[in-house]
Amino acid sequence: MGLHAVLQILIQGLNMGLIYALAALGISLIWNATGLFNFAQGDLLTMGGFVMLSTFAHLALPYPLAFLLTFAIMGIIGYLLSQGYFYPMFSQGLHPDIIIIGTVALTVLIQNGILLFWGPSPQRFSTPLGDNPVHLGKLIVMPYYLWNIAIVVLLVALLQVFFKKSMLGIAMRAVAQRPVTALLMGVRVSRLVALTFLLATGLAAIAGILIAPIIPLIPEMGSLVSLKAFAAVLIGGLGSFAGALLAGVIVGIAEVVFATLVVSTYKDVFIFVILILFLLIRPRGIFSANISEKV
Amino acid sequence: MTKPAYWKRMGLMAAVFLVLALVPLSGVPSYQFYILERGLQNLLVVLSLVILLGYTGQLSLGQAGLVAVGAYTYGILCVNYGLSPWLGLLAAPLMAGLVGVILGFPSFKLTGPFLVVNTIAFAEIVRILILNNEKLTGGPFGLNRIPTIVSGLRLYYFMLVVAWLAAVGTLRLSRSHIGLAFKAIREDEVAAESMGVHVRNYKLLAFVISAVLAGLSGVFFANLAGYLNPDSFTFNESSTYLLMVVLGGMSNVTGGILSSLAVTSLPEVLRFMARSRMVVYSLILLLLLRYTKVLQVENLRRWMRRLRAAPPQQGPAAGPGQAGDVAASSATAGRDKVTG
Amino acid sequence: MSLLTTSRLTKRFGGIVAVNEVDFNVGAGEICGLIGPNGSGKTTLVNVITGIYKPTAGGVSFEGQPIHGRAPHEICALGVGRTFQNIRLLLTLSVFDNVRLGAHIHTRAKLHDVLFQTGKLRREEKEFAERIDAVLEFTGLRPLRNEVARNLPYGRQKIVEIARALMARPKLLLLDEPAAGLNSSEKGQLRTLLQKIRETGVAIVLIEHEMAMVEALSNRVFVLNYGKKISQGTFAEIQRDAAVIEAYLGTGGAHA
Repeated sequence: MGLHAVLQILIQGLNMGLIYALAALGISLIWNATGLFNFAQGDLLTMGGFVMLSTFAHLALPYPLAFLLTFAIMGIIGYLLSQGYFYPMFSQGLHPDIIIIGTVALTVLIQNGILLFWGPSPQRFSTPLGDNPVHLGKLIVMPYYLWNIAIVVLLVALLQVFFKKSMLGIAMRAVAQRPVTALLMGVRVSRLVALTFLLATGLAAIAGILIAPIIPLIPEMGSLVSLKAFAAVLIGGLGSFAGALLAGVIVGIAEVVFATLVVSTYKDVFIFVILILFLLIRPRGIFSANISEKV
Repeated sequence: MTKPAYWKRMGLMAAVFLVLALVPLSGVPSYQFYILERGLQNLLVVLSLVILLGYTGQLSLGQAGLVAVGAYTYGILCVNYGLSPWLGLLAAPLMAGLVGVILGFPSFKLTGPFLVVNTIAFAEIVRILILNNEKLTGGPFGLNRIPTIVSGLRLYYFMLVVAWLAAVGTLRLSRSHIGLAFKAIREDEVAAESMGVHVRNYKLLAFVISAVLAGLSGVFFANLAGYLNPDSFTFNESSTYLLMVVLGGMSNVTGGILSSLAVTSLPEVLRFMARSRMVVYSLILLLLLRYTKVLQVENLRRWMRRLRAAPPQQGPAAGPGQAGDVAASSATAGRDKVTG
Repeated sequence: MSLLTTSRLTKRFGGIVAVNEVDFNVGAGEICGLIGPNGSGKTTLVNVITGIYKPTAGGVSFEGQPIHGRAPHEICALGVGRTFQNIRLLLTLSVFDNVRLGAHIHTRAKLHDVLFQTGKLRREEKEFAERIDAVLEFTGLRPLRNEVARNLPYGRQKIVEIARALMARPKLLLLDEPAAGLNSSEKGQLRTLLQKIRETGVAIVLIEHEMAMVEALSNRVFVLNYGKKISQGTFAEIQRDAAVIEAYLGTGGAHA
């Protein structure tokens, strides 16, 4: 197989991997802040995609504006979910399984809500770079692949700066590591958790926006994406941001490689089997749960 | 469960089943009737979750996969191999039980979200396997012309009898030392193990029993639909089953019966709700979960006392074990909790 | 003749040595006190003995057979019962059901017996019901038979745990601070109960901070500090032991 074919596969895998990584990062953020495992992350991703559909494709707003608007809308939804729903339940000391069931109910709500609001037909929109293949030497690449990679790299860089340099970012990390100390330092934990949800939901929304050119949006897609994101989180290690990102990329690339080299119909099974093996053998993931790990 | 409590519940269940037995006589139109039958079929899965989740505390979102195993085993044996439906009825739950062993095997090690993810992954693997083995299962084109065990009204009564037996069995299980062991595992695994319960084996037992019930449900699904397609056994269905069992009170058999009938058949009665029924149900569930503390019976009683007495009573007393064990997740900066 | 013996039993958690080469033994029918300042490893020792933790080094033997490394339910079946420092009852269930759990290891009925409500099941349950009532009578809990455990006062809950452990007909009972949180009349009742239990031939290991109770009940006492055994003997003997005094009071005179 020629080099350019390999690169083609890698770029495809990297793309999906980065999208999984964003979703996985959101799950990791919420887990670190609250110990909650958000099963609805994939559906928030889908919802982000559909909201962008409305702002960008239907309302015909310019891409950057639609992008930011979608991020803002989804972020606010995440904030409200935290303040109004998850944080109160969490601070009541409810059994964690109850809260997990809550996120599952949320999944059902979002999936059926999307179905009700936007209908069942697959939807798609593209990036400002359009849909004409780009030629880089012998490599033929769809422009949205390049766009996605650029956006995510930028995003990760921003997050790095945010977590290391900004007061808010440092505070969020503090809450994740030592909630009681953070509390004593005057940090309002509930608000920080809400902001964490905001960020996590915003990241999911961005992932949804980026996935639309590649895979058409349907209301039910959240479950499958969620599962792959879970796989990434668990493989990378449940407390680790870098692990979530890295494992997301690994999952994306592994998926495409398996599909190409072995058989494409079982690529999902391949990932799920790996997930189950990790659950059984190394549930702490590749990186152990190091909450202080930077993005 | 004391004797009188047991018989009270049996009586309640019997009343519900009696009503169900009389429904065909009231001349319900056949489409509505079909939905009622589907409600009965779902009831078996709800019972499986009452045992697995309600009693043993194992959260599974993979029941649809087990239903699929039951349905397809029945379908394949009848259609591909021409076996008698009665044989299919026997073999399918057993097959599902076998798969349940595999599904339940990791359960001794996995808790919380890890267990849930494991069950979801398993169910997906089952679905994808079904989807991609066209020669055996018909793949995306489905499995057609599946024979029924008995036909027409007799199928309804047959299902009713089987559902009744399953419900009685579940209640008997709840009352027994096995049910007690399950509940001990749910409430406190360490204590259960220290009191002699072989937690690993009992968790496996719970998974197998629930798998057999789900497989049986699959047989009825095949009987009712006459046609199978992997799209009927997705995460969506698994979530819906979970919704039903939680709405019914998780470990409450009669509640589970009523909620499975309601969630399945109600929207057809209230036509306007048909398209948005899942939105409504999930919202109701979300609210119930959010206010689950408020709705607990003792808290309700306390509120009633407050409202009735002139000087307000003392605020909610924190009794031992009120909130249950919070998971070890570190970031608990919540309001104060309980003693003990 | 020793019922339970630990030899150089050690339990490490990462860098912390919670139990440090402890040699401990209990004879049949005796009450052995196990005391030490908070954090000295008493509960951990019990947890290793009952199989909740695997020992890092050393061994435990019961009736001459090694039991270290075995699962808690197996050790329970051999005749080792226990209660917990923080009550671990099934709070949503009745006292009757909670105590019934103790008889789990003696239950012979199988799944099919349950589903078909066979004669075997009925006879066995009747037998257990009688035994439960006897244990409740013995521990003074008979009037609370059908009460939900959550509604009981703390002191009563602790007794339910003991009743549950007794139901398994143990040869050895490990009690982790049974008197903690009890008022003085409850403590008196507990003392009487433990004496009654000893009279039935059951050996008891009593972890306690209530020195009066330890003094009154124990045949022998073991003292732990920082995971190590620092003294053993009768209560009078260890009371005079300088190492014990130092452990509890610190080196004298340095602070006011």
